[in-house]
Amino acid sequence: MTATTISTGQLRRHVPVVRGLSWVTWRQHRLAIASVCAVLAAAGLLMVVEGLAMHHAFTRLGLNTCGRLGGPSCQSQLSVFQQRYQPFADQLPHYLMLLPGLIGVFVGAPLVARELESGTFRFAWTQARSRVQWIITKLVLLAAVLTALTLAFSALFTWWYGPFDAITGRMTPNGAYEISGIVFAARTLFGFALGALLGLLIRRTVPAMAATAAAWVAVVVPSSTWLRPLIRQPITAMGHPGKGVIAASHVPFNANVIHNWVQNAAGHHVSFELIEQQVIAANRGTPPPLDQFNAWMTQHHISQWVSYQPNNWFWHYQTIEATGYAALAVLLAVATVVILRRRAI
Amino acid sequence: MNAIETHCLSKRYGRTWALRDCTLAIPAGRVVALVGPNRAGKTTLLQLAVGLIGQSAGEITVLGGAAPGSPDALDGIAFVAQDTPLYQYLSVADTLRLVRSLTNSWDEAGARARLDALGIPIKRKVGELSGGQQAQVALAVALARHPRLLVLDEPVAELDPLARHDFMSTLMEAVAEDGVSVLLSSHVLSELERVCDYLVLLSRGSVQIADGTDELLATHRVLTGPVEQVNAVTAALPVVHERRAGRQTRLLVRTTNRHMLPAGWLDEPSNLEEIVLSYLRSPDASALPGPAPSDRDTSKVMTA
Repeated sequence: MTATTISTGQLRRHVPVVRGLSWVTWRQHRLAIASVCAVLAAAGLLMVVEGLAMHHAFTRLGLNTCGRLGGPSCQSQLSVFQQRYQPFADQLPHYLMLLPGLIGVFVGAPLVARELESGTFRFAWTQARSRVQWIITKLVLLAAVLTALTLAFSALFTWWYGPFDAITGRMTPNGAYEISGIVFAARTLFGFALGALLGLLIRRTVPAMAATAAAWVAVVVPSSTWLRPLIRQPITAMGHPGKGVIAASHVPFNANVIHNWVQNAAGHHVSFELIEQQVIAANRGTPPPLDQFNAWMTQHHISQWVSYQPNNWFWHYQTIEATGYAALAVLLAVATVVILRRRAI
Repeated sequence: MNAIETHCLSKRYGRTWALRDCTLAIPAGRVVALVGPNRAGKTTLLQLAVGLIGQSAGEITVLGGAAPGSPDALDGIAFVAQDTPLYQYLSVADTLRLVRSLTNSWDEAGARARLDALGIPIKRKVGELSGGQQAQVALAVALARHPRLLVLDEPVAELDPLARHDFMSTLMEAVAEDGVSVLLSSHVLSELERVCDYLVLLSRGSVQIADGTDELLATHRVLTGPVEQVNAVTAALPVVHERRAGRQTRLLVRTTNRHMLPAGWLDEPSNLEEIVLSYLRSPDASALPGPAPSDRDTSKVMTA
């Protein structure tokens, strides 16, 4: 009896009591946090269920023991595996990559907009804690929670995508790049801070949510399309088609092949059909045998090229891109605090 | 000490001046009524005082020299905003906990006792309470902070007469118990007369009256008499407002002395409502005390 009382007392002393602005943040945003958890957990559950089956199939087919995955000894098992699992692996990330934007829309945009819209800011900001303390606490705590949740989700995704990391890699544009690593979390923070600022400026919850969604897409899509390729020049590899050496043989199996082309001695890109026509024309209108065709290509210095990003560039890209989004998020958060402090509400 | 002191305080929204060159000293320890027509700048003045907005020009200090919105000012002032905004999705108990989490001093037992006495269920969601009950919750929460100054912006405007009466009673009990300074804006004059001892009249963005209610009643008289003699009477007296009905005229004059009046004239005391309405009808008249006493002077008087 006494022992129970003591242990309960000790337990109570050891449970950290959330107080002050932290409690206010928790009480006001627990529903939003719970919703984010629920959505991530639902997607996570799907990945666990499908992932266990996929990982099992990978070992059952012997893809972990057959040698080089791109080699001939794995080819037939690999095509069975890809036929069964590749479509879903290429599809799921395309939906998941919208989640950071949605989190920004549903957690970030209402943060200040809801207070302004309902008039409760007059209640919240006239207590003994200043509105600067209020907004900083909320931004920091919610950002920390969102970072933890999204990083955990990215880790789970990385496990799930594991088999395909060896097959298609994570630099391929199937969306896996956007979910695994740290870009997912950084984009969530960006969306959250963007929502908070737009909510403060627009002062209405629903329009602020719409604006956040639009602005998030308007930043994320162009930056992944145009800015990301600037991070590092892709590697180019050359092949001599005349000697039967194709450029692709230099490229790792799970690399992201960006471009594949043929060029002449002057360095101009030419189509293979054009070369064929020229060879036929040189042979008085009839298609020549293969060795004659190859000799013609060697003689005319026809070369074949491929440009690619190897899979092990993944973290280099992720670090730079995530730093960019995190810096934007900090900038937006600071702007929110400064405007909130100065603005005549 | 002055609860609120302003000097040429002005606030502009776009091109409109909500408050213009407002110079005012509201003494502490009083229950101050801030009256005036709609759009006179009452809410603007109160929001400037609690630090929700910043002024466009001029100066304002609260609680004897603190800047509005500063930690001291936030700590010492409790604000009940217009329409008493509260989080509708929180229970009354969570509302108490929320404010407790945001304040330095807090009287949980007092707040619960007050709500209990009013029959407001502590577990009920605020959104499920009536307007009168929500206003009482907002007031209980503000009083539990033990503020030095309690600012209320039109707290009873939306309430029915019974709820209005109950709200004012709670407020008056608290003032009697704690001696808290109160600044209360309203356009319901009849409610204020029984609770306030100081009156500030704002009209079209500037101050028209700022004086104790006793002083106002003592310095204003109503004179009634025949129209023909009105010029002879008004020549010697500062008339705030003149109203004629048939052959009779009714003058509100600002004076401390009894005057010799022609036969047939009546000299009566006025009431606050009539004084306020007369000033509102004569926007150029004003009843202001001399230059606002500075802090140091007042404290000397208080210690003496």
